[in-house]
Amino acid sequence: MGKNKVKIKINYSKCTQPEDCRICLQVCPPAVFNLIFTDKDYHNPKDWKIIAVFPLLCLNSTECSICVDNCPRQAINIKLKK
Amino acid sequence: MCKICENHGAKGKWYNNAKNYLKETAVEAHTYEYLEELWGNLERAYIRKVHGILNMKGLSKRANTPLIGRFLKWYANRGFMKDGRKKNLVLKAEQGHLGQVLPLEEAKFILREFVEEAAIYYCPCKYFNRGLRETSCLAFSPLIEVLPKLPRYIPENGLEIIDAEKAESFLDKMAKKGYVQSVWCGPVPAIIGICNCDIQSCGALRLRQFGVNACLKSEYVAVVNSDKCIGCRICVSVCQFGALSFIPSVNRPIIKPELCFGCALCQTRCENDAIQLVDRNEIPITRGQY
Repeated sequence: MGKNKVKIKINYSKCTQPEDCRICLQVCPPAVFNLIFTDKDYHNPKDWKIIAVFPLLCLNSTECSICVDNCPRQAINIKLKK
Repeated sequence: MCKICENHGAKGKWYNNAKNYLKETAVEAHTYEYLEELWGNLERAYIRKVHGILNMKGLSKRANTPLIGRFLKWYANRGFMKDGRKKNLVLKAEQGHLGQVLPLEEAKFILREFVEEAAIYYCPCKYFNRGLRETSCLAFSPLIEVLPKLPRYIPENGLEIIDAEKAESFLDKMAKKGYVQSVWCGPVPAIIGICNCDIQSCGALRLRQFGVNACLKSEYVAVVNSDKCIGCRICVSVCQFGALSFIPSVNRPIIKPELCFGCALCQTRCENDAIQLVDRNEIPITRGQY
């Protein structure tokens, strides 16, 4: 489990409406992404954001890029560390 | 017998002890304050820092480092076992929120014997892990009283309270879909509901991949009877934990007991009664492994 070195970056200037979209959450087979509140004002849905909680579960070592292909705003970037 | 069974089971299984369903136990274990605090912040469960250092996201990265990882896992696992009546729970670490996988038959037995009313509500795990609004969890009496304060878990048509028979048919429907049943407590002795989920979407079951035991395995292990089996492979396609694998040269599946959670999904799907459940402690490899 520890050998899978993947870096997942989400561009928050492009990912602007996570509450309405949520496509990456539904599409990812091991559910790497997570919809969370920011610490400031977590009762306001506009302040919610999507993070990659468990990048260790990501299947990118087998060249799965389903989240990158499906994101409507091209906000997700995945790199394999060597 | 697992650890909670020894402490709260009255010489049986802890979820078959009627005392754990009583309102008095819930009051004694501070269930109402606990649920309001924890379920109000359940979406932040993975990123809330405990003692200013640790969270589940960080733990998943460090779970395999030699000394620190072992300590963190020990601390998390010990927290889930904690008793709510002693009132020293760290809520940010979700201490006391422990569950156990159980076969469909036993989940129905609970509904028949111990529970008068249940309510169907939105599964919180599926919402923050999957972005899905799916009504797939059953709440029992302490949780039903808290839910009106948390409007985002209430379904569109309002919270409807159903009796045991309807709840049983609801569980049947969920098992047909392929979900695993698990029973959950608020702080440890008080039981709050039954969940239907799969291993990647459930907030607790998925943590087992990092060695955090927020959800225990059931008391049973599945065993294949190869005389009755016809090799249809349905059980292999159903298993979520990767315990079943098909061997083409003998045309039979095998079950790895150390991976089996004892959820009995394969047993309910099998048309020829070829899979049986055996007590976990009768098999040497799985004895005491929960």
